[in-house]
Amino acid sequence: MKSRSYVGPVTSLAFLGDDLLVGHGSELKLFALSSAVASLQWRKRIFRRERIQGIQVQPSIHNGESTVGATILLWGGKRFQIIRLSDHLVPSFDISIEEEINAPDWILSSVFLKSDNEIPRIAMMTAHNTILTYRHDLGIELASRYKWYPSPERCLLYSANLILDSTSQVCDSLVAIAGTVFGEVLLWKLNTSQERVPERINLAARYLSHEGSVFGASVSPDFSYAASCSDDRTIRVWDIKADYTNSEGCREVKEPLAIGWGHQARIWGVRFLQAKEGYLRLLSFSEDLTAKLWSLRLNGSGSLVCIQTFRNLHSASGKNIWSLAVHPSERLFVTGGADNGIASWNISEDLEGTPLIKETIANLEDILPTLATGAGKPIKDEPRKYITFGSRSFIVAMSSGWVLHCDLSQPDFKWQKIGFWPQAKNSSAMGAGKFWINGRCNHIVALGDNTGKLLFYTWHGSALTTTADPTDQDWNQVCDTRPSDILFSQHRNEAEPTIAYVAVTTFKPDAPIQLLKVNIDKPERPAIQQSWSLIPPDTFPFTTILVYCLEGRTFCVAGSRHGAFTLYSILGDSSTIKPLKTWRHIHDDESVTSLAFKSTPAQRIPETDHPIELSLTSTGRSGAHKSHKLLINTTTEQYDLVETNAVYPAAVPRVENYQKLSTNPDENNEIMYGFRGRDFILWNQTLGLEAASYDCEGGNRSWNFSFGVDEETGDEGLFVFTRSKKCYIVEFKRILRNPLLQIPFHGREVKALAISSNGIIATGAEDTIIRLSSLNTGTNVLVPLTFRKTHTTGLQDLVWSPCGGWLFSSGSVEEVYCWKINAEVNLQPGTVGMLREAVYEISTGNLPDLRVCGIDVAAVHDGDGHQYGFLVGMVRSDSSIKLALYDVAERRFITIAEGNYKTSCLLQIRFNLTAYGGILMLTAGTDGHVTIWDITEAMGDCGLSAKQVLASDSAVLSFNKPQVAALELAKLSSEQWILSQPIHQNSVKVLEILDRNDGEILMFTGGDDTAVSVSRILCQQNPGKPSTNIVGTTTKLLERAHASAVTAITISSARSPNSNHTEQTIEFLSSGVDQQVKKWSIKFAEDLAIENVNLVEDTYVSVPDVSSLAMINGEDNTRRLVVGGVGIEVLEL
Amino acid sequence: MGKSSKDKRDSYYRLAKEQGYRARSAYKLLQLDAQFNLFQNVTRVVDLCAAPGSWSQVLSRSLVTKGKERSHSVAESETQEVEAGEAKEEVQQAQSKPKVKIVALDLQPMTPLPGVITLQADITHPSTLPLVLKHLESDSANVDLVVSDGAPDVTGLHDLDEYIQAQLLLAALNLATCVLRPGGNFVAKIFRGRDVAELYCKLRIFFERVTVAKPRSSRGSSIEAFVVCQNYTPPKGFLPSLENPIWTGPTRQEDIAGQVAEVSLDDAPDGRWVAPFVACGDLSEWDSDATYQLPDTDENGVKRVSIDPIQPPTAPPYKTAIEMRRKLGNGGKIN
Repeated sequence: MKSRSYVGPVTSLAFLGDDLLVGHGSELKLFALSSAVASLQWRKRIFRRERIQGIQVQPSIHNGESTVGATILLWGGKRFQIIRLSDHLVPSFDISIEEEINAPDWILSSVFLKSDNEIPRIAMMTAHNTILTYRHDLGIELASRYKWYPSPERCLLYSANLILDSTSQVCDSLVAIAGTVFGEVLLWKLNTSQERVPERINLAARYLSHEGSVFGASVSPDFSYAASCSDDRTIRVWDIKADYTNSEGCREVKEPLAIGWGHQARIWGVRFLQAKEGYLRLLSFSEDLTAKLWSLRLNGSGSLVCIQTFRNLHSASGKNIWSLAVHPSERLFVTGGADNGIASWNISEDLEGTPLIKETIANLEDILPTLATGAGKPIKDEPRKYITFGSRSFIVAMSSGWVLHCDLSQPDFKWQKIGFWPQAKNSSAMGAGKFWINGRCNHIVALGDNTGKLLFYTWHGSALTTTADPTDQDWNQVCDTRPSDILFSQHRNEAEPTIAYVAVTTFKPDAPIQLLKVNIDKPERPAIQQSWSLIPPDTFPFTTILVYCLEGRTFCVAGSRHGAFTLYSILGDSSTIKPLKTWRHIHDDESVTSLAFKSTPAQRIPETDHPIELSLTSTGRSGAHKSHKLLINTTTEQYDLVETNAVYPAAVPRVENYQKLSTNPDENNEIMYGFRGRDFILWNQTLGLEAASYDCEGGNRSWNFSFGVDEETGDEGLFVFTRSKKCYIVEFKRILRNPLLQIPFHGREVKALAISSNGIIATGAEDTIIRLSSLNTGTNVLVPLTFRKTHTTGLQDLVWSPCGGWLFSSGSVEEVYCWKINAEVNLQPGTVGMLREAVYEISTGNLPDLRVCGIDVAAVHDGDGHQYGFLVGMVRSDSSIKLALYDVAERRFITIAEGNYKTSCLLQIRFNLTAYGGILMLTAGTDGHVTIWDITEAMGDCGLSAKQVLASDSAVLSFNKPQVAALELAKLSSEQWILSQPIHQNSVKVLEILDRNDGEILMFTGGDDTAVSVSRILCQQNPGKPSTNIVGTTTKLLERAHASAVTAITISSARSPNSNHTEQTIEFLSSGVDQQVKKWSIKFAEDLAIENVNLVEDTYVSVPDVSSLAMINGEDNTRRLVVGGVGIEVLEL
Repeated sequence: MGKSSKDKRDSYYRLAKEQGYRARSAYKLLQLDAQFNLFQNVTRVVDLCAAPGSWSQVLSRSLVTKGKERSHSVAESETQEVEAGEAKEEVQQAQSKPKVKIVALDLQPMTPLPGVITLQADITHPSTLPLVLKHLESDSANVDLVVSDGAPDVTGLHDLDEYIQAQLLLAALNLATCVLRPGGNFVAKIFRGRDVAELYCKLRIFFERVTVAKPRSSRGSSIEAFVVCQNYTPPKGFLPSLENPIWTGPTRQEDIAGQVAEVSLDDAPDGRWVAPFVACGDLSEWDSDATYQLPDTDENGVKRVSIDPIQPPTAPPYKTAIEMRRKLGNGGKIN
């Protein structure tokens, strides 16, 4: 077994010039930041078991020439390595993990000393507040390379920082600052240049005021100040000038210079920046997933103020930023998270110095008089409605009837009047669409007046192409009352690029909606070619429309303010059109905010009942972005809307729109925008991060937003809105910039991992998130597909349906969800739909901590052999068991049986179907017993039976009871037990079974008691009944199989030379909290005996708290093992 | 979460309050004793990292109050008296059995307990040893049992947490080697992480029997377990010392060779040995992982009232931070 890839906490970071060294597990990685796109250059395993917890770089200087290469010191736990890089972009060094060097104690900090005849020398500070030096002379015995210095005070430290004193005249003079477990900060000095070891070393100072363990401490670049951070959520700054030069014993300081409050959880580290303009500046990073920039005025008694908080790039529901490094320029820094993420942050502004968000406030009252020559200055005028064109211009309709255009590409913004129409006073009816001439995108705007007339004007880039002074003939009478809104279909119909479809809504409920077909062949004179009256369904205020033309047929889909969709078929000759079908509650009861087609909107499906299938997406104030398939058959008049995906981005609770954006063809970013509280948010769903946010005091105001339309402005956005009657113009730049060098994974430990039959890796973690990933079998790298944060508690278990189309997840507070997974053949990010179809009933509100610890799923067919759904078994912490049917057509769970085991917590459940139609259920829990239940009869009462369709196939469940509503709950009780066998002393942490046919079940268990068991269980049919009798069992218990709890088992191979059970070779893998993966081989004997279970392989993995193992087959027949815990490791078998 | 919902989630939490223990961890020691008979013929005990004092309470009740008539079964325990009433009784009994000495040490201050000598001291500090011996009224190592339930506040970095816990255990071991009589026993909390086999191996050098035990009152999801080390038999020539403790980093230049090399045993040449495992506590006792359906009334039909803990939890280190946040307002949000 060879480790191939790792996902997990980033424990150390250091800059090497412009490039970044990363300690990731036991591997060292180099990311080139100097190139345009930051990329991983190489990775090397450094330690056998330790994680790299610290990196120090010493650049090499050759004959005064430019610096090439460096010496790197890496440490983790009680091990370290010293490596030389000749050219760091090329992994020219040759290092083997066997060369790691043992240190006599846990290293907290280490530093290079002056090398001695080309032999590197280092000093290290250990967790017992001790300093040792080491001379890397491989010619002498290890212990003799060290030199020990007496500790001024041996105590247990959580943190230490050893720094070479650059202000000292003596070379190799060290300053040590340490944080103890008990909240003390210790400062001491040591001169290591002398041959003689001093007999006694005194502390220089002791700083007492923290109220908890000190997790980080550092010294300012000029050695005048120190900062420490703690469990008590504070940063304390200390003036060390006096202590640093003082040589008269230890000073006790009880008052810090300043205290910084603000982190919401433990603070793991602090780093000083260069002081700037009389202010001391420092960075801190925390368990609360933020980094903060602090500032303290140097003269006077100022306070330590947080001037910037860096958040939102690491997994939002996780914990801990573990590492931080500042770029030599101090304009950016990087952080490494427990979530595998490495994020790059700009201090104050971006590297080129341009702000990423620019806000301008336009006081239109000041602008109007200069424009309003002749028309007079309007009184009490305010902006009513905005339309943005790309990212560089917009128009605004004023309540007075003025319509203005603003060009942002001009210096100081160029304002231009379009017209003054008092008949459109106070009108909000203005809409915009696009049309294409020679492949170029143009805009058309429709303005409605108060009498039901519409005026069109068109824009070519930023130039007005319609006659500047329209006459009365240019106003088209469309309806007989004041329009409330004008809605353009935003879809580009390839066959008619110069046609725009517009719906005009009025304030009259239930009044027909006018749908206009506008011809823009002549941009200077758009003409209504045709119009229809759409009869709205009941209570269906239109919010958005989408028109699609296919072979002479035109379909219009509309969304309503109450979350509903409706479909119209537009036929050329009829002027009044009724809806074909309406679907309610697509976005709950909230506004549908946008409708769009996918890149390939339609396909004809031959040989099915549906000739046309439209793929569309929608957003809604329900907080969702959804994908749908609309199946249209006009012959049979069947119309179906199927939801294929739903994303609820927690960062944007009110989603207004969705768009795919890219600046290069290889990337496709899914961006959603909308509001969260007071903020307007641009959310990058692909990267899983907030692209930008702006405080506009909430979304209930007049506003508009659009992205740039051409190559130059492709990752810009323009947001215009009204606040206090003023027009605010907010320009967003570089929306698609990717500040992630390494993408985040789960923010806390993986508790469940399951791989589908089509290779999707589902992981569920303590961070309450379910992630779907695929494995790139070439690089062995995990590719994130999608994730959902829907559970409110940490995940307990995940199980795929055998077909891979559904995923069942469980958590605490009785949460069990059924997810429909819609995956295409090529697993790519953005192509996998994940839809929560159903929630299992939550019944007992008085047990808030009831956990659903284990689930299992078996496929169920109906009487005709078609898919009905699944039998879902759930075991819970109160010893109860629930069995439910999941009906895929109705998308609901129906409880069919329940009962209790005893009172102890149940952890595992597995179903087994026998060839003769027996339905068995295996359960196990904290009492160490495995119990086999024969539930054939109980299931039979519910209409479920097990059948073997073909002799070679395993049996499947068949459901034969259409009247499910009338089902009586079957009882699960100890009368159904056919075996209850104590195997482990306490918790059975894992239970796996392999049906060997012929009635033999091979069962594997792993326990908290460190044992692994293998059992052969022979089942036989009771004469004349489908019930089962256990005729024999053999159990082989491997005590102390691991050094700690065994939490995961998976069967790696079952090869059989023939059908003879005895000769079959079965191998399985086990793992647990000891982080060893062990491969075992079973040797069978005659008469149900197990001759032996032999250990074949034993490998260490870098994943603490292993919870799960799963096998995945590569295309090339190679097999890989995915290990889940605090991170993920992929091993090749 | 309210008290009463915690009662349902955690049956030992409820039980501890009902039976007057300062913490639910009391049951871990009771269940360990039930399995290993740890308190048999014990008259001198040292309790390390003792605060808030639940293990000392168990020691006091088992060795002083009830002497040899103590009950093994948690479920049958009838101790229902309030602290104060119990105290008087215990002092009297303690006077009648002058032989029993219980010394409890912690860096944190601890509310006094009847029959227990509580000391605020650092278990790693060399000056602690004479202090302990003085209170044991002894000038030689004659302690029968050393127990330690100490654990660090975990950070989430598993390797660091396991290292710090191992250092606590080794500090306790060093003190134990200084005070235990040959044949004495040592019980300590241990994290069963990736390097636990190295720790077992080190303990085996000093004790004839090393077992790892998981009481049913310790949660299955927790990494903690307890090493029960029986029959102290130090290697020949071993000189216990807190000035120069073993396996806690070098204290002299000449220690380095020993600290960079691995410990080994005949049956564990690589320094890793896995201790036999014992789950203790009867299956009929409460399961700390299970959720219980508690009736709203007790067996006498009286409405169940959730009682307050005996001692409120010690103030967390971030208490001042919370107060600051409250003072600053803005919904507690600072920047």
